[in-house]
Parts: sequence; structure tokens; C-alpha cells
Amino acid sequence: MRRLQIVHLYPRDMNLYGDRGNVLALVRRAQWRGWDASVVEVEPGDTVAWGDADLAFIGGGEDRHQAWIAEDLSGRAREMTAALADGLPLLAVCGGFQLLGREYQAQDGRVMPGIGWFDAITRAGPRGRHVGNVVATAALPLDPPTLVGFENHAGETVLQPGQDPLARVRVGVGNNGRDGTEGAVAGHAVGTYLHGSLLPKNPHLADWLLAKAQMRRTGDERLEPLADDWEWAAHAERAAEPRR
Amino acid sequence: MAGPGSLTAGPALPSATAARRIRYTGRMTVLKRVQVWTARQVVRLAAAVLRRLSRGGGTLPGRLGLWLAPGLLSALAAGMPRGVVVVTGTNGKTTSAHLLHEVLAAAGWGVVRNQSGANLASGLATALATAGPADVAVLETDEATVPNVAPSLQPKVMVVSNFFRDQLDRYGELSTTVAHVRRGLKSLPTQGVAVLNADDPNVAALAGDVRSAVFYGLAGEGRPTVGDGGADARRCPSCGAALTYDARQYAHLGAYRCLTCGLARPPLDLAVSVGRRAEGQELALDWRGERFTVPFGLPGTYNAYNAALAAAAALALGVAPAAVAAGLSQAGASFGRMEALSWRGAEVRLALVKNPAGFNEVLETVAEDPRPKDLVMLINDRYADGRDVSWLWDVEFERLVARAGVGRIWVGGTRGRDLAVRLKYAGIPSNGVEVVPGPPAAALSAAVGPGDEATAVGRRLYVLPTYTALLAVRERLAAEGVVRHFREG
Repeated sequence: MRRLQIVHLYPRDMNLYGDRGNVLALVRRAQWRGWDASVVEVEPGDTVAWGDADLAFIGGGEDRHQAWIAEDLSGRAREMTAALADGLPLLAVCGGFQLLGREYQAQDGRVMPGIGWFDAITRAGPRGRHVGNVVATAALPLDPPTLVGFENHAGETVLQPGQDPLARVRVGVGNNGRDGTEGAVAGHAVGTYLHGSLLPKNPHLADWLLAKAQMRRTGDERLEPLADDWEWAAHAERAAEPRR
Repeated sequence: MAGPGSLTAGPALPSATAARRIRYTGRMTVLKRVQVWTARQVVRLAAAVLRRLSRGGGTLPGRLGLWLAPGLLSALAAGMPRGVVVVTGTNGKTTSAHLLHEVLAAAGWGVVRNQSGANLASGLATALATAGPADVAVLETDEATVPNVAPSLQPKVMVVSNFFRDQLDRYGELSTTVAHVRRGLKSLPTQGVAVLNADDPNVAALAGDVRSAVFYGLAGEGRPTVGDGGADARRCPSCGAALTYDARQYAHLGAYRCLTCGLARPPLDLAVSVGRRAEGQELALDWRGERFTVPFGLPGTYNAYNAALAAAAALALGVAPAAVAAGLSQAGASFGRMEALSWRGAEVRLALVKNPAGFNEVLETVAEDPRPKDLVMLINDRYADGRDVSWLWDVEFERLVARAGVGRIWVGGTRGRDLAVRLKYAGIPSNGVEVVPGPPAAALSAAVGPGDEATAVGRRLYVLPTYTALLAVRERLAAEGVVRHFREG
């Protein structure tokens, strides 16, 4: 039986907008294929056996919590970037995405260093929070290429030259509202501002992550298809979202 | 800090029931008096017109009045002989304000209350300006509005129920909400009292900002089945370490301790123990050593907290325990808060859901009902509901729907499809779930069916809508003559 171990980083503090739904989506989609899926929850100070990890997830949190997390995460930067360089698939949402960039400056001016996996810099934006539905076109080979979600962030992220975005925004703000980019991709790691939860309503992205996880263990990227009628119905309803 | 807390009712009042004109006290200039008087008449007229048109009319008249006389709130609040009580916090505002109203009325006080949901400055102004003679105003107030209105209202008592994540697209982060309420508490008058839920670490921590606090909470060991969902204050508000619980009632509410800095739930001025009854529950109250029990018709731990809030506020105002018991025992549910209705032969329970903690508690209450039951869940994403439905993923459907022993499930509303996906990932078999997209009333009709009494007998239909879906359901029920039109005032 295929085994899938998901490392869920900081579920206690980085869990703001239903982000646990992403972990649930990965677990279920693995289980529906008959895999043996498990989740290892990692809190500050815990050690992680990265060699056993098949996939990693980190969600978003309040600024106050994010400062504690930034400190703990910086202590893991070396081993975590090594695992990512080895092809570990990862999804980082909102605050998690910001902390995986080079640095993050909070609303109160404090600068937290990120682990620098994404070549991206985030600053508290001058225009308040960006809140609303998002429809974007993914740069990954997804069919359909549409991603749908909900953004709610004050930080504005600028991708540095050479850093690929996850998607181009059709509706919504995305990384910063100026260059049309949303999120980032590096190796098999995906960073994004999309909540919703993201993966249940974007089953193709969930399966992209699962396929990369499987490939890393078996060399075979092909996944058994699932009946995703409800998922695509919810997806289609969002994809028809008018410009706001 | 548990101060002396209990307020004497001030200088001896002639008789609590004696009709009394609202007095425009203070040192107002003649011009200001005229301005306030005019504004008040305009609000009354506008409210009367809107009522005639069968509109809710909870906010528009007040907005007009505040525009005409910015000092309207403070002038009207100053005219309340026994002062103003502000009720705020994420969950329980409407029900606990309703319960407090019942208790104060049982004590013989004339009470003014704002309409459910009309809890911004405009709604408060409408309520105060349209009120007849009264002794006290009980105002449920939106958390973000508290700091703006507290200086004008000069509340005698401010009650804080709890802080949960709620519609983050509107309110921002939890710490922002806590900060709003803290600013409001700082403008309590010298003799003002804060009535605080000791079981919520973020609420209890507000005591540091007030002169006098009364703490209420639940006694007992809590529920063995409590899950982690909805727990939004898992860290010590003082030092940030993870909290340890000796008893947990639900989410992050309970008897907590911090092993790092020694912070703990403060001693309770009012401790409430909950016993079960066939319908509703029996509450044992301990007010600073004075013990009495109350039969209480509303189900659920969250309603025990609402009753504790109302009792603590009334006792802090100097109301006698006998009146507290009388008021709580005769109280029914308020607008869409586990409201009992009968429609086409089906026994309907209507309960608003708006955030994970509240949704979990409603499902917990559904689970406690031993009767056969079906479930209708209606999720809208209009502004008043919260545009973001991510929170559905924080509701513990996995644990609760399985325990609830539900027959069939209908989902509807503008985001019914999102809920359908949520239920699928919760492991609920798809053949037991019917998706009825579109307006909430459509799903409701599908669930109730043509009114086949035989299938409906003995079953309960729990209808769980978000805010605007509740209004839509209500409108539908009113059109069929099941409930009074729109909402009660």
C-alpha cells in the first residue's frame, strides 16, 4: 500500500482561515485511492524527521503568532530547504507563504526573516487588507488551468526576478495588485494567498501535489482518477465570479 | 480583579414600574435640547413609517437621528434612570440580551432593547429614541462599535461574552476585536462594572483594564466529548505559552491554567452548574455563596453560558436572585436562536450559524436531542454573512454529524455547493446529502416537502442558516403565516 505522511507545520498558531481543509483534502484524496495517509503535527520546538515526510503544509496566522513561528522556522531553515531541494512537495498559504519567502515585514514594522525558499519579499501594504474572491490562471500544467479561492491579507509580496508565480490573477488582487501575479512555485513547493479552503475546491492542484509526492517515492506520477463532480461544481461556481 | 461589583441601584427610586419620561439631563444648552428633541421625533416618525411598510426599520431611523444630533446617544442614555447595559462579544449577544431583558422585567424594571442584529450606533439610537418610558436599556453592541459608543452611553454595566474568530473578512484578526472591546471598557464611568466570562482567557484578561469586574463561568468538569475545533485562544494571554485545562466546556472556554506564568481562570463571582432535563436544562447558580436552582428551557452549553451572562449582569445591577430565577425559567428562544416552530406538520428548530464555535455548539445540541431528525444547512456569502466561507472547514462536521444521528441532510444557499464539498470530505456519504443550490427557501421547501404529515410526525427538522439565509427563511415562513412578519422588535 502507498504511504503518505503529511507534515503539518504549526497547526496551533497557523490555522486562521480554515486552512486545515487543505490537509483534510490531501488525506482524503490519498485514502480514497487506498493509500495509508497520516499527518504529523509539528509545533515550535518539535523535531521533524524530514526523511519520512512525503508532503508538507503550512497555513496562515495572526501577525502576533507569526512572529513566534518565524523564529522557530528560521531554526529549521537548513533541513527544510534541503528537503525541498530534494523535491518534497509543499503547500504554504498566506502567512506560511510569506515566511517561506526571503523576509516579511509586519504591520507594526517588525521584520521577520523567512527561510528564503521563494525569492520573494513581503511588506505590510499601504492600502489596508485585500479581501475577496480570487480567480486565477495557473502557470502549472493543470487542467483546467483555473484556480479559485478567497484572499484576506495585508502583506504585499513582490517576486524577485527569476521567481515564478503560481498563477496570473483574473479576479482579485493576488501578490500585490500591481503585477498580476499570485503566489509562487519553486521545485514542488507552492506558495499562495488563496484560502477557501484551496485544495478541496481545486482538486487538480491537490492531485498535482500528491502526484509529486508519489513520484518522489516510486518514480511514477500517474494517479488513479476520482469522481470529483461536487468539487468541480463548487469550483465552476467560483470561476464564474464577476470582476470585483 | 473581583471588586465589590454589586451595584446598589443608586439613589432610591420611587417605584420601578412608575412611568417616567425620558429626562434630558446634564448641562445641555437650550439649542442642544431642541436639537436632541427634534432628532428623537424624526427617529420615531421614520420608525413608525417603516413599521407601517413592514420593513425591519432597526437602523435607518437611528442613522438619521445621529446625523441630525450627534449628541443623541449620550442625551438618551443619560435619561435612563437605572442606566445602560452594553452586551458584547462574538457569540451569544442576542440571546443573552434577551435573557437579561426577561430577568430585569421579572424584577419589575421597564426595559428598552435594540432589535436583534441592529447592533451598530444607528441601531442603538433607534432603540433608545423610539422607547417609551423605561428604567434601563439593554443594548447588544457589535464589538467594533463598542469603543465608539461607550463614551456616549456611559454604561453602568458592560458584559463581554466571548471572543471567537468570526467573519474575518469583516472584522480582521481576533486580536483586533479584543482591542476594540478593551478600548470600550476604558471609557466605563467610575462606578461602572465589567461583567466578564472568566472561562474565556481573552475576556478574563480584560479585567486588567477596569476598576471593578464581576466574573461568571461554568462549574463542573465540562464535556468529555469536547473537540479542539473553534478553540481560538489556546495560548496564555499574558505570556504566550500553551494553556492547560482542568475542565473544558467547549472550544477554549473552561477552567484553564498557564503552567509557565501562573495565570489561571479567576475565581468566579457567579458559578453555574448544568444538569440535564428532558427538554432544556437545570441550572444551579452560586452567587458569592448564595445558591439557587433554575429550570431553563433553552438547550446547549452555549445557552447555559448565555443564562450565566444574564444572571451575572442582573445580580451585578442589584437584582434579587428570585427575580433572576423567575426571568430565566420563563424565557424562550429569541429570533432564530434555536427557535421552535411548526410548519406543514414538521417540528422545526431554527438556529443561526455564523462561525465555527457557534456552529459546533449548535450541532452538539442537535446531537443531544434523542429524537429522529433531519438537517437543513443554508450557507449564504453576502456581506452580513461574511464573504469568506473558509470557516466551514473549521466546523467539526466529522465528529458532530456522525454523533448527531441525523437522517437526511439538505444543503442550500448561495454557497450550498461549498458545504456539500465540506460534508463529502468530512466522510458523510454523498447519497445522504441533497444539494439544492440557489435561494435558501428552495432547500427548505425540499426538506419539508408537500406537507405529508405522516412522514413528518415525530421527526424534528433542524434548520441551520447563516444570517441572511435566516432572514430569507423567516420571510418565507412569514409569508405562509407560520411566524409573525419579519422580525420581532
